[in-house]
Amino acid sequence: MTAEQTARPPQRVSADDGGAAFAARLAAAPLARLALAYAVLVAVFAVTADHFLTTDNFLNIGRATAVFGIAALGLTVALIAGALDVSFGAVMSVCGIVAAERIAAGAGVVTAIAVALAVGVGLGLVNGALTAALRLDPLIVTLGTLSIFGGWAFLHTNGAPTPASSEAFAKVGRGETLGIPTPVVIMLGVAVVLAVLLRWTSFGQRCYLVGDNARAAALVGVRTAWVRAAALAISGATAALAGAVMVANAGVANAGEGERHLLNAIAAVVIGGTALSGGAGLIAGTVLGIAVLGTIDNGLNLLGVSSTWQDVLKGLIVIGALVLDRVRRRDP
Amino acid sequence: MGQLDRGRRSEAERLVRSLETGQVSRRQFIGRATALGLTFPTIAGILAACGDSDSGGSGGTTGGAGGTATAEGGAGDLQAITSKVYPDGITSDPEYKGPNGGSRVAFLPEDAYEGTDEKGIRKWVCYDFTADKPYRIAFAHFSAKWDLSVEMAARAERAIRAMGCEPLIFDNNFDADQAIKNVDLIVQQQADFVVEAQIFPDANKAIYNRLEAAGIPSGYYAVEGPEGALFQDAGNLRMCTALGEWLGEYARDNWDGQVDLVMLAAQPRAGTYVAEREVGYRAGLKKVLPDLPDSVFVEFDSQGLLDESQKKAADVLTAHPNAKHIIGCGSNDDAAVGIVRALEAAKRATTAAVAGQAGQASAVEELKKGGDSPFKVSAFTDIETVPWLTAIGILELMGGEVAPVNFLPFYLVDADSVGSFPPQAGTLG
Amino acid sequence: MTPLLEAVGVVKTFPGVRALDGVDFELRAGEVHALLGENGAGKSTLMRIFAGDHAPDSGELRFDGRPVRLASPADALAHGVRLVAQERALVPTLSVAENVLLGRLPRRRGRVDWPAVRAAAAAPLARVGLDVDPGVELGLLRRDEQQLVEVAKALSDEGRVLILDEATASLSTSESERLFEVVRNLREHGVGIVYITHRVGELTAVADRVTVLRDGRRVGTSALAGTTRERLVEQMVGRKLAELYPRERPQPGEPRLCVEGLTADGMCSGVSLEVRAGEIVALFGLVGSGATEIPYAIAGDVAAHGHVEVRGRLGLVPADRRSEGLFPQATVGRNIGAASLDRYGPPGLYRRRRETAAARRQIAALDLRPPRPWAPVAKLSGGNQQKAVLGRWLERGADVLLLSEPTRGVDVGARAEIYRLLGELCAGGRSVLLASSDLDEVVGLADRVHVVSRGRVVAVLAGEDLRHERVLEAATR
Repeated sequence: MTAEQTARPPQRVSADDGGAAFAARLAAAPLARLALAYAVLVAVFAVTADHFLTTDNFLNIGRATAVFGIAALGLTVALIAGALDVSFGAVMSVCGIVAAERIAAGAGVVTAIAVALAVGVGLGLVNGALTAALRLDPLIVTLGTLSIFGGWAFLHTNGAPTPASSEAFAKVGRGETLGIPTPVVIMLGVAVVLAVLLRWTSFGQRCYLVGDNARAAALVGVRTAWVRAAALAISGATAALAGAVMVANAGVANAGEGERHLLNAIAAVVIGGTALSGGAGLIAGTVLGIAVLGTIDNGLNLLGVSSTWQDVLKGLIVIGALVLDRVRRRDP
Repeated sequence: MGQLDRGRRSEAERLVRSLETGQVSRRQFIGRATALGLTFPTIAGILAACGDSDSGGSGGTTGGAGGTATAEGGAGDLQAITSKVYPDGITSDPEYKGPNGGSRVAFLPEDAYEGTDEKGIRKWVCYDFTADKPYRIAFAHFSAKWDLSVEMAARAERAIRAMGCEPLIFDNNFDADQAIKNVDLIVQQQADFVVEAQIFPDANKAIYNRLEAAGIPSGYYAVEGPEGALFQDAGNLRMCTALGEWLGEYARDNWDGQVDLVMLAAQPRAGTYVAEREVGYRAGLKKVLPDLPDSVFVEFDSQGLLDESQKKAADVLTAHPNAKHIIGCGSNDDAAVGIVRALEAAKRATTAAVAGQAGQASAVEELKKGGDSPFKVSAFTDIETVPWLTAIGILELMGGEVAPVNFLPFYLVDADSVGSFPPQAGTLG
Repeated sequence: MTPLLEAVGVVKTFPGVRALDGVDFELRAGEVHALLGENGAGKSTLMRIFAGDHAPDSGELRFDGRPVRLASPADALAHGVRLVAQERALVPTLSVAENVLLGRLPRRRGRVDWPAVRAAAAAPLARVGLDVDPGVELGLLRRDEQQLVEVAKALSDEGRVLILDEATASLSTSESERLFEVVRNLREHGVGIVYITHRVGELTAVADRVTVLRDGRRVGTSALAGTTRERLVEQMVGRKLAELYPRERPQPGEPRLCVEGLTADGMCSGVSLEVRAGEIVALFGLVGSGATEIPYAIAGDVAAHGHVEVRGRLGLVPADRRSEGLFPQATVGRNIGAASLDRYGPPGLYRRRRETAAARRQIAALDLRPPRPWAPVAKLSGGNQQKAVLGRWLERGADVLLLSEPTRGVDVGARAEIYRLLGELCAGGRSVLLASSDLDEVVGLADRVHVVSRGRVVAVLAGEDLRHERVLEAATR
């Protein structure tokens, strides 16, 4: 071969800097940036708001975020698998009502929550089945089931509240475990379970494949419809758990209660860096996203900022996160 | 009729003929005759000549008169009826400066009922009369999704029939557009009076304008209509003043009048009448504890929701770590119970007293706990009184004098008396 | 005779890449001058400079012998240069006439003069031989007709230089023929035409002279008559054809893949073939023939009936890496391990370490650059991406590899490597079935070519019969 022939043709320059450093940067970069942003947020409030930097206050943040946080965690898994499930708010309402009815009928706490979970998983599988059968984007399907599930809740209860007065059940929503509010413990527990699921099981890895490129996943033999359905079932399960906790705290279940948490949960997932198109995301990111939202609310409350401004600020942050997401994904 | 020109005269003659044959009702005749230019004496003369007993109602109705009481027997004495509907007469309350103008208000007394009917429903005297003719009374209720609204509509229907009129029930579906659409149907069905119960103040303006254009008077329940329109509510100001007084007395009896923090879980986005609740709480507290400084009051937006209220209240408590004796005032029961949850989580509930309003299930559950809960009292409004506005409307149609603003009785329910009251309200209040 | 258009010593550098390295080029009036080269050779860059999109870093442009500086596309237009680029610059919802006169609609008293529009569009449409109603909506025309509208647009005012950049990229044979007609016609009228392509086969139909670019340099210019196809390909590719494709072919062994009567609705019918161990068999067809879809049918990706028998495992390397092959947000390691996840841990569980180790092995075996399993696959070159997909199936233990358009979007250097790899894989006992519309590739690489036309195998050529002309002739039946 002549020198001419061995000369490498001019290529697009690929980033060829120090191996492991680059890799670490890529994988952790958005997460590290988010953690840094959160640290700055905390610092700002610590300086400007009295009583912010106390254990009790952070426990309050946990309490205020646990309900939508639990739902956001399951939503993360579904979104990673390429399914943006917006019906979870209605599932929360439905399962909250189911749990309350079980309690009112005299069942134990564990039974009530187990039944609610079963219903949540079932509704998630319904979403999965409809997605596969109708060949529609899960977003479209779950927009429909959001109305259907939510409507059922109103029809079933006639808009009347369902009391759930049971000491034991109340503890789930209002009690403490090891000094930490029980809902927060539940949220952290769910986070650990789902993080392990995503990272250490082949199912979890398949979720990433399906969300990244469903067609390619099918070509390598992944049963994409099943993976998506399972991911939606997980989203349904966490929504059920969130609904049960919500009702345990309130002591009463009402139709339409869960739907109010839609925006917060989706915002937490987006801020946490999970791509809306699927294929990438981390539970840790969502946890940070939850923390960011809760801390902003709490800090602004302590500073006495009005609700409207809080909403505006949160909206801007979500838009900012979405823009960052677009920019990052346009890189390659 | 010499006043009219040729064209109008024949028109007027046709109109009179319609009145004679019963094709138009008195009310419609008055409206159209005025539009044609007839003077009042003329109209009165014609009406007197035609007699005021057009049985059978308007020709356009479909079997509407069936089953309703006839125009005889007790219909004629307007004075008697008015005193039934307004047993205490119409008062002017100089202290009341409502945003809907005027200080002419009426209060339905708490004991204005006489026993219960065969269904066990309390019989309020204000419905215990018969109208002079079977007016068509429309009642557009909040939403079929809300069980309490459905109950209200059912009671309204009963009451309207009891007064010898024909009920037309509509569902506003918690939707402003639907409420406005319903107005078209109401006009089409030629209602004589409309009671509107829906949650959007702006929609009420549109509704009022459309009804006025069609010559149909209207009344508004719970959410205000435009200035001057008939209105009925629980009397937020009075109710919450009473609650505030109750809380003040509690503080005086238990804490020597020492109050470190008063949290008001408000609903600033819900309109001016609802905002009167906080005005009432403050006024009531200050009446009993005049030395209470303004600085202990902290008001926040709870949106009327339990968890939102809990979140905000928790942060208020964090910001006031040294407040020991704490009072909580909820714009509704859910907001109040949210404050309770925050107090419990912060372990500051034992030296706190919280009040709510509306009679929601959350309050009933808390009150049942008795001394274990800082939730002490709530104001319930008896759902049976809701149809009062229909009676006021009929009264106005019959030519009586009515108060523009009408307040319902309420009951302060505490742990001891909660057994006698079922939950009164669902998710809204 | 003074050339119409000239480039002398043009240099153009973009960040990280030297696109043109001292290129000379000249175009005469009334000639069709083909510009040949691989992807990335610099053809489009040179034409963009002629069209005023870029300014050269150094070197000179001359029109009619006079040096010019083109500050903008408007300048180039003023000099009579008309570029028909690869991306369509038409508006499907406007009428044909409006598209032809895009941006230059005749006006009267400030408003568009519609009768004048129709009249002005008539002539250019006639020149390209397009017989359609100028008032019809463009989107309703066929692909090739739209292409001709684009040419008409370029000619609708006094254009002297027409540059066609990969004009036949998405046209069928007959549609391309039509375009060539138009080009020949324009040549008669003294227009100078630069015809850019990477398909050597088209040139005989249309070109007078041909210049070959490679790696930003001009390798040579010759009259078409004075050169051969092989020579041109060698110039494009930079190495002897014989050396591009592996010469050592093993003895074929047992049949590994048997296909009989494969029929998939709308794609192929009655396809039968056999591939033995150590063999490279190709399916060749022109765009639209259905050849590139057959591997998918064999792999079971589309509903088909017929008989497929495989001894061992199948691996499918799809035609469109981006939409079908790669996991764009994932690493190279993940892309390699994607089909073998079950092997990286106890049942149901997953250990990243094992996948990374396996990926490293494949990366080494395939000489994938950069050799880092955690590199984001989206940043790799086309060739390395293709290696990753190949590696995925090797990792899975595929004995039969089905590839569709294996070197699409892959530069020359990597192409040779892939050919070498395929040769090695076959030497190791595997079988390769590849579907391609690249004539040189199938002729140079395959032991046997099944020529496909309209979904059917119309010829099977091997040995002496396996020559460019015979393959092409069969494909156009």
